[in-house]
Amino acid sequence: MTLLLAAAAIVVVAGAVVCVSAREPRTALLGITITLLGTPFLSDPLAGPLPLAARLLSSTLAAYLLWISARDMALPSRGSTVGWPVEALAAAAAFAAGWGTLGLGAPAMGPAAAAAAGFALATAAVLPIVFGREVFRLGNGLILLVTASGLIRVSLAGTPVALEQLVIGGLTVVLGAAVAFLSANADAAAAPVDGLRRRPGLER
Amino acid sequence: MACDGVPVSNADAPAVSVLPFLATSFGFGILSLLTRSLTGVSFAIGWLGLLVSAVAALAIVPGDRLSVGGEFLVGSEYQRIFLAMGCSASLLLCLLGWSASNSGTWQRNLPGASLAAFGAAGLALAIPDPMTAIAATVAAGLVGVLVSLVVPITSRRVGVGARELRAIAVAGVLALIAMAWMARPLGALSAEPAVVGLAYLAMAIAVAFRFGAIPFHVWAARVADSAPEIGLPLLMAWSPAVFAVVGLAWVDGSIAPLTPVPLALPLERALIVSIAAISLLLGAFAAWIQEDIEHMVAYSIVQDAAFVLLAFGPLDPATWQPVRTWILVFVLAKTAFAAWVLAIRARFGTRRLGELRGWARSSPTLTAALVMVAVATVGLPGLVSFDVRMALVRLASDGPARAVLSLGAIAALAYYARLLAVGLADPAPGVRAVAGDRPRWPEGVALAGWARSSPSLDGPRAAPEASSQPGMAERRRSRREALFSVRARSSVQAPRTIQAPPTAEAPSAVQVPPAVQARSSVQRRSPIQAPSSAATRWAQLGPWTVRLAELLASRRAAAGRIQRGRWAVRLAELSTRGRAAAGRTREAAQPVAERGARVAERGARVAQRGARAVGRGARMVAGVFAASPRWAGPLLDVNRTLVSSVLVLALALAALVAAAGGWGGPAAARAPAPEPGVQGQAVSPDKLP
Repeated sequence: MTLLLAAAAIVVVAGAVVCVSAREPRTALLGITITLLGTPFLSDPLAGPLPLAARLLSSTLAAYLLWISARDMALPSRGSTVGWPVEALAAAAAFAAGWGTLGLGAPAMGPAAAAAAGFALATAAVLPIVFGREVFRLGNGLILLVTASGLIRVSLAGTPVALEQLVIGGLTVVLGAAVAFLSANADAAAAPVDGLRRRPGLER
Repeated sequence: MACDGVPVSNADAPAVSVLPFLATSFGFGILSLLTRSLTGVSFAIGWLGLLVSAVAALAIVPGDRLSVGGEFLVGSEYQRIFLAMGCSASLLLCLLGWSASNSGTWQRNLPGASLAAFGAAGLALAIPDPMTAIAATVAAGLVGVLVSLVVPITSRRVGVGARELRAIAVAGVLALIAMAWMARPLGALSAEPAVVGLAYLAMAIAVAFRFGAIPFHVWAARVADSAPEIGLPLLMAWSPAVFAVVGLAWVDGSIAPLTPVPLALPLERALIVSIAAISLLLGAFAAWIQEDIEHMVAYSIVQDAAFVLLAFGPLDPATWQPVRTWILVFVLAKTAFAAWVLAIRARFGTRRLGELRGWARSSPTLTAALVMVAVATVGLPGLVSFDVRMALVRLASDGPARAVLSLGAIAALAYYARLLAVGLADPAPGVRAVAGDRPRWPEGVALAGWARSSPSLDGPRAAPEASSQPGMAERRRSRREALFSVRARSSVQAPRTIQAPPTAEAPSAVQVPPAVQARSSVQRRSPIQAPSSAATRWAQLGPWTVRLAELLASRRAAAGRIQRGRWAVRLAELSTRGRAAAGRTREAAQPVAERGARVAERGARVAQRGARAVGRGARMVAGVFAASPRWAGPLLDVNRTLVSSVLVLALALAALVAAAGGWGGPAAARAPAPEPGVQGQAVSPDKLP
């Protein structure tokens, strides 16, 4: 079980690294879809079939909403400012730290894989959130951060009950919708966040 | 059945009173958002949804429990009042925004987003588990992003929306991790003050983030710059308020029992009280110096939200009742204040305080509304709002800090006083040109021309010779000129020149920069002043209906006269012929024929009179039809000024009633909890395991 969880956690983190590194919006979308779809499996015991289905459905819906806004994007993203190897190494370091510090000094009620993936996702989300000038990239960072907090919550307090799974699913959809709404409008306004100029060579 | 004044439902019966509210709010909200391309339909669905949701919220039974997915949804009195007030206030706000906005400036997502946000808030207040509840409150906040953008959408506005999204998500993550940290058996760690203190501080800072407390206020200030004023209550007051209620319930249930009050966590508590004090003082100062009244609303929200933050300071269950009462007053008062700003901007076409000189002289209704908002917010000794503010200050501080916080509590008077002082000053030209609160005839209808040609309900129509009298014509001309001059000033960019002294040799006028002119022309355009196309079309029907009725009446009169006269004459002729044929002499028949002709003439006159009566009736009906814009006007745009004032007054009154202890607020806040841990219900330490 631990191996399966670890594999799932690695897939989730890989998706996050792809998401924050990619310049092409559709590639970033693929990465975040993998992350969103893999996250519900990172719990021990696994959620019931219905809550799990609800989570998967909500993740698919959120990804679809993001796809609606991303498919017509004329401009590629800036991508990671530090490059994908750095992102991947930082996420790996955080993964190891999360695995090693399970419970943070107190008994944990969830799997170490969830803590590791949560730490890695939070680390990967830092750069897009702090330095993200494009709404789509910033939004992806925020989705990763919220997903990371959910994973850390699973590792600390155990598998959520069905109603909480449902609410988290709803939160994922609303977050995806909000990011998609802002991204579509940002693309229409054709300018990056904060009114900063685009990088030379990326003008429409 | 009742328990300590709180009615609770039968435990055996299926308790589903929370479900109708959730179903209606989410259902109508999603429907309204999906139909948002059809603005009118979306508004109608959203408005109906808010109405139904307000009723459904009132039907929530405190203590009602429903098992869902291993958890319970529990109804509470506070939840009932909060949601009913929220839906009702949004109902009025949407109506006000709809009536005061043009089709291009109306924030079409507002009804749907409000419904979805209140649905999520209702869910959060019904869930006993704080982690699930906080996720629901984050969702409620995120829905608000949909109302943060308004046409025209620029990169700057999108950037502001992104900042807001970031603040909501980061605050939610902080709160969720703090809750998860404390949601497990901590063992020996629970004795470590730093462990508990970190979680406590994270939650308080998350709440400070959500309210935009200083120094976390940058996103809030930008939102005020970008979002429409009608969306500010949802973005900055209602959604963060639910977040704070859940956070307070969690602190009361998870942190306070672990710390001996009031000695524990002094550093963390001092930090939180300091943030609250800074927000109280600097928020009031920032609101006071603003030139834009929408920014004033935003900073006033920041300032008043500091009392909620203050409640995190004492770690004392005694803060629970005052802070919950204050949250009810706060959200209503800030909604009324935002509505007041919207009404002011819609009427005077500007948000700049310098251009609003004399607004109070023009609008006593809005003056009364502002006074009510100020009284509801700051309160008077004896009013609940004043008492709870002072109680929070008392519980959170002592010594010199208490004096500082008390000063902050009444500092809000400064910006309200400034608004009133500006309103009572000599009116600015733009304010002078705008009509007052008095109900008035539609200018658009008058311009369309029907008022002159239609039979007015004011009285009999003026005779042509009377209208050609010099005085009458003079008045009519001057009125038309006045109307057109107002329009020219308001929308057609009249040349704004500053006249130089006559002695100066320089060009006689200094042109205002084009950017200023453009801004001014945008601001001057008052939606209330401009009749909608629907109303104008409706009004243009007036002359046509009158003409149609006149035509019908004259045709009927002519037809009646001719036909009835013809028949009478023919009858007389027949009679005459008959008598002649019977061998009477021509002389004998003559008087009979003359008499018959007289009868015929009389009959024709009667017929003519009858036809005139029919014509008058038809014209009267047509007049009523033609004048219907005057009655339908308040619902369209004729008296939108009055409607908006009344709506603002209603919201201000609601805030005042809440501040005076109405709406069951304090009673609800004092009500004992049927279940420990339910958001919106007091949780005392002795109830916890």
